Amino acid sequence: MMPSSRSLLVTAIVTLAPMGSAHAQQKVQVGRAVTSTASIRLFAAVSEIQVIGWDRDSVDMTGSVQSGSHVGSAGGAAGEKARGMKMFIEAPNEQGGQEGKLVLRIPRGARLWLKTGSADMDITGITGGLDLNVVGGSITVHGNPREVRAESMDGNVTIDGAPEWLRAKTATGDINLRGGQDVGASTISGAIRSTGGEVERAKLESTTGSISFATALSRASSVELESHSGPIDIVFMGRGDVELDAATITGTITNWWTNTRPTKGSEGRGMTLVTSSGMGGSKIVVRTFKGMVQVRGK
Amino acid sequence: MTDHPSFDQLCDLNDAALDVAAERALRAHLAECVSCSEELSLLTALGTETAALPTAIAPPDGLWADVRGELRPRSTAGSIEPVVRSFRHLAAAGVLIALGSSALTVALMRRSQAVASAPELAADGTRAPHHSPMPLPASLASEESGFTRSVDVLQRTLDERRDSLAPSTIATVERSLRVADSAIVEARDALARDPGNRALAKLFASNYERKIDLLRRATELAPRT
Repeated sequence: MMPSSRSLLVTAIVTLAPMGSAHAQQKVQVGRAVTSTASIRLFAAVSEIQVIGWDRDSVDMTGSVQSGSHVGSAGGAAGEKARGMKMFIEAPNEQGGQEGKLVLRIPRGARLWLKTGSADMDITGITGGLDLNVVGGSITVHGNPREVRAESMDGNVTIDGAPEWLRAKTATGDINLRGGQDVGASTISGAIRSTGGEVERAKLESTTGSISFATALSRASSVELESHSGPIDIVFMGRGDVELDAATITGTITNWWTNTRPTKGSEGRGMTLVTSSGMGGSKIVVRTFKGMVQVRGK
Repeated sequence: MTDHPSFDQLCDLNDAALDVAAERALRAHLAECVSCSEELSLLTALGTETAALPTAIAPPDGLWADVRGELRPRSTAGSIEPVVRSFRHLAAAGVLIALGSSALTVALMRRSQAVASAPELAADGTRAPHHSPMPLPASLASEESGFTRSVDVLQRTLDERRDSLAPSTIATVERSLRVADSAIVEARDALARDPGNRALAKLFASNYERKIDLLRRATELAPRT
């Protein structure tokens, strides 16, 4: 039998007096002891959110939001560290959702689910999991979280680290990556840039956006680059063991990496290029309908 | 289920996001575990509280009077004549734009029918090709009908939620859907002419998958975003 005191705790929310700015604002302060791997969920209608991973087993959210915003929070049992915490900040009107700034500190190993409308998110120092969703704002992740799911419509997604597992998606926003173990990036018309770092498995795909791949390949890695009409630019970072298999339906392929010349399709449209360096332990497959493919060495 | 469910599992139960088997197992645990039941109750209460929030906030009393007061000096200072004249100019410009647009559309459609290769895709995808789709072989047609069923379901959901999303978000989604549609049509036409091309078949499927994923994400956006 669990102790009767194990009731769910609504954490303290301090709502102070208006701060006297042009648009009246209220301060937000939420604090709670949690486990080092707690699941934290936050929906916040603000303009800017900074998330910092720290070495304490607690959650601390501070900042200011438009006056009249509804702030709610719940999680865990009284008297013990919560396994999870759910918070929300609801603006009183649409304008309010485009104001306000928050700083959220959570344990490094926590799993964060963060959803917002037009906020710019900046996340540092998390080694746990991130599930980030924004419509119009940008997402920037520094460091090496275990897993990252980052989705935006308009805004850019920048992952300045090497997660073990990464899925980034946009509609029109650009995606900037720096390697990882298992990487997926998909966009309709944004650009995808994978620059620096090292990758083990990757699939980068776009409809009309450009794809630029200049990331080192780990041993026996597998990379797929695919577009409909977006140009694809590949820069090999060294002469490792790599096999390249590229094909277009109507696009052109230019190879400055090896001496192999691309061949034209049977009806004079489209090109293919199969070439390799060393023993060919890693493989890059490139497919595009009518994008221009360019292959270069560093 | 012997262990206590995770916070995420309770949230998923509360959000009706679990499959039938997982929900059944979780509810069986909840029937015997007071603490987890209480935790779920609070999550439910939090959700109810959120749902009860107003979707629109009326402006403060007297705001409209203030706005009117601000506007009055400008409207009385100028004559109404220029306003009427500018409406006429705007209407004339609108007719010209409509005629020009129609002429351009006809010219582009004729050009696209005349060119044997797939029609060009504009960078912003605003010009989806307008022509009867060429038939696909049975296996590809079957695959496409699976995609279109998913698209239809998600599109209906998005249409139902349209009023709850910001106009700018809807505009972004629709612009991207047009880009995706143009790419699908282009790949489809090429595939109808070259049905044995496996690379092309994969590109065709990928275009549909990106469109479906975009629709799915759009249907999951929070209200007022």
